[in-house]
Amino acid sequence: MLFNSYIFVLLFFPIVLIGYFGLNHLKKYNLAKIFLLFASLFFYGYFNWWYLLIIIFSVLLNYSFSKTMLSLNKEKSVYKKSIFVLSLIVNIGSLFFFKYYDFFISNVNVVFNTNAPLLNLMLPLGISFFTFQQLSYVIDSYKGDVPIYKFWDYALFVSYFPQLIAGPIVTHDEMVPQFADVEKKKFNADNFSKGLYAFALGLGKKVIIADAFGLVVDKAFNEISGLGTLNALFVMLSYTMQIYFDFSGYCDMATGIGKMMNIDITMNFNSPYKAINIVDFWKRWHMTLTRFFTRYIYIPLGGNRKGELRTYLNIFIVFLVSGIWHGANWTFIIWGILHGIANISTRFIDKNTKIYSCNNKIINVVSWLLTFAFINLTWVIFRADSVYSAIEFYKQLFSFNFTPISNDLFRLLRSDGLSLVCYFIPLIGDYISKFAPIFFIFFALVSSVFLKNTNERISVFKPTLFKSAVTAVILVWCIMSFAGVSSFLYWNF
Amino acid sequence: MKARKYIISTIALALSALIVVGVINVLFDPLFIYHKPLFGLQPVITNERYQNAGIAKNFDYDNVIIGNSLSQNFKPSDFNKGFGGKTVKLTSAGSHTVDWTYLLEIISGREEQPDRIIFNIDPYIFQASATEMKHQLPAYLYDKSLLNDVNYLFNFSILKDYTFEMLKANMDNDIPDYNTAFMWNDDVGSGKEFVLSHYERPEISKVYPDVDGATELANDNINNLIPYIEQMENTEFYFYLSPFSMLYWDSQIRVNKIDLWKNVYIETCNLLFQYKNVNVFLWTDDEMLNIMSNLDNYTDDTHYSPFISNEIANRICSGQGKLMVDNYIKEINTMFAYINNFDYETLFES
Repeated sequence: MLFNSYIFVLLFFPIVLIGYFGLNHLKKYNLAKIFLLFASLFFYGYFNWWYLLIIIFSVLLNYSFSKTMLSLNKEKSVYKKSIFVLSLIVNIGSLFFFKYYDFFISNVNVVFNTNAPLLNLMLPLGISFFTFQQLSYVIDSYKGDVPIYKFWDYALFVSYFPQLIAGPIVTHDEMVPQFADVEKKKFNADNFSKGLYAFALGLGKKVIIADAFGLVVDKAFNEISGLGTLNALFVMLSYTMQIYFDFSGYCDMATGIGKMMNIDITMNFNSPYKAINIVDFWKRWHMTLTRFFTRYIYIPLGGNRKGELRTYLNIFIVFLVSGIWHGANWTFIIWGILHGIANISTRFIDKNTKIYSCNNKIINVVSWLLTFAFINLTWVIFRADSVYSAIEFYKQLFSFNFTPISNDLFRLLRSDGLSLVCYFIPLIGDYISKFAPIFFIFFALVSSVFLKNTNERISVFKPTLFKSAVTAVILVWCIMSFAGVSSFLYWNF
Repeated sequence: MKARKYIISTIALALSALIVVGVINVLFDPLFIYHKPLFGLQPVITNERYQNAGIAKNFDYDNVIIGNSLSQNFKPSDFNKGFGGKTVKLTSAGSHTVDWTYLLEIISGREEQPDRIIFNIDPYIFQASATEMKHQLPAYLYDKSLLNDVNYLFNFSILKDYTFEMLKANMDNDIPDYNTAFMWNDDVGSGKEFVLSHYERPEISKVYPDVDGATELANDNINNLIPYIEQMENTEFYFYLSPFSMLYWDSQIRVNKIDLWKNVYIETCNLLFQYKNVNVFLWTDDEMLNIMSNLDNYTDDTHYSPFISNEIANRICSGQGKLMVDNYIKEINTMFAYINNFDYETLFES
């Protein structure tokens, strides 16, 4: 089920809220949790009921592994180690099987000129997210420094629907205590109002902004040849906006839904396009993924404790794994490698010149421009269907053929809703409609670079009639736009 | 403002706005899902796939035309004149039997069923998937579920492209003519030179296609319609075999498909003639064969001009070319003999 669907907004979520708070109000706390768990499974199974088997099996298996390891004494016995290794094999193996098997085999076929059959498996949604969440618990269980949770608490931590299919990658210690906290089980108007506001902002980011840019990007990437420099630039910027507003919009909605239920979901985006260098960018973009890799790959590899060269190698490995995690395609791997190299270079330059320590405004502005350009350029390869398509796109971008921006692309930013509203604005309606795409791009760029993000907004949120009207308008506008085809970019990663 | 007040006012505002939009769409109902146009408004029919379901559900009619692009050039008035009563046209480009079952489901569920339903059948239909649509229909308009009507009621595209346009057209008294709706306008090229310029003549093949497989697929397609033929026993079903141009048969003869199609035509008739309320038409008279041999009557190798559609309508209404149990094999043989013996090089002469 999508957050941006009629069934979610008009039926599923209201029922969940009534059921969850109703049962808690009757002090049926365990029943409320079980209700939420089944609602989450319904939410997940609504995409494809076969997916349910995978997630249920995964939860049962990981809970058994963790419980067994935790019930053993704290010493890392052979038996405990065996279970730990087995759990890693099962988790990483299932991820590999569903996500990378065909990619691996097709590469083997190319290299060895063989013809091994592909499985063409349908990737279970969010498998990368719920596998990583469970891996963190399994690893912590092996270390022995976590409590044994009740099964329902654990199952709810993994399957809690706001963060189930596209993150954030929350950890057990962030979520399970919240589900157990009796104080969080009562309806709280302050939290609910903040959550409603965050949900509306996220929904607007996704439906009004990201989906509009998505139309431009999809059309252009289907017909790359002949784009020319200006169109390619426009498309590249559109994708930069699409992926940010799409993914951060999803996370804002997750934050909002959680907040309405008094559950704090970890922040995943902190205005990443404000970053003045690539290291800063990765502290702001998909923060829970960076945290996971830092905790479970970078630090176990030695982090920065084994000398400069080893630190750089560890960083490179993290970004290589990040690239692989994002998808079974060479485009993601190259994207990860490029970001790894940029990260290492930035750290090396800063270490030797201290340019970021002096906090010079001119340096910061120039560095921001270079960082933003790098992010834009690397998003191209991230978006492209193949390395060949990415190269074609770069050729167009650097063709220095300044054909004007295609009206066919430009008009895609003029939605039905906007055209209809503009029709009723006397005198200037036509002009607004005509220039709306320019305003749209300008707004997206300015809001992502200069304005407060949703988490910052809800932290200082004060309800006003104006905000209420804005929230209602965004909600209605989005609901009226649901009938278009849409999907979240990040749920397949 | 207190948080509680913010929540109540936000939800109240949003719900009120949605209710207003929903009520507007229900009252004016531009896709006719709930009722015929009210308040003396004229229907504005501009989109087949979106409006056919509503027309089938709520309009009054005696005759129905169902079909793909080969039937788009029919004028309902031709059938009104020939058969009497009122005709609606529920054609849509690229549709085939799977799409048609959605319409037949609606039609067969009406209290009053039509007197006649007319379909085109041809190789496009016979070789289409019998289980999947080529272009998905907006299912929420075709089914009986009220839950998914939210797609219709709260939808900017519906509000802008249909509700608003319907009201505007009525206010400006600029109602598109339903009788000529979806007919091909003058922008569509036609004529021998145009047709040939878009024709890619296949290489002569030495491969012989699978006749049994093709016949089975054709049967599956016709079998999609059989339950409705059985269910609507008081409705006469008219199937006509579309007169494709000889250029189409040129392509088929070069890939060795003539015997395949002949077999499919015969098997289709075998299947359809089991039902008393079925009429099948095939024209093998000189006039129609001459029409098929003259590319000036076409816009490509299969699609004929509106005046041919008019001719077909007149023939169906008058019963000309109706196949009978005792002559259909002979007629099909005549058609395929003409196809086999035709001098295709004459098509390419200037």
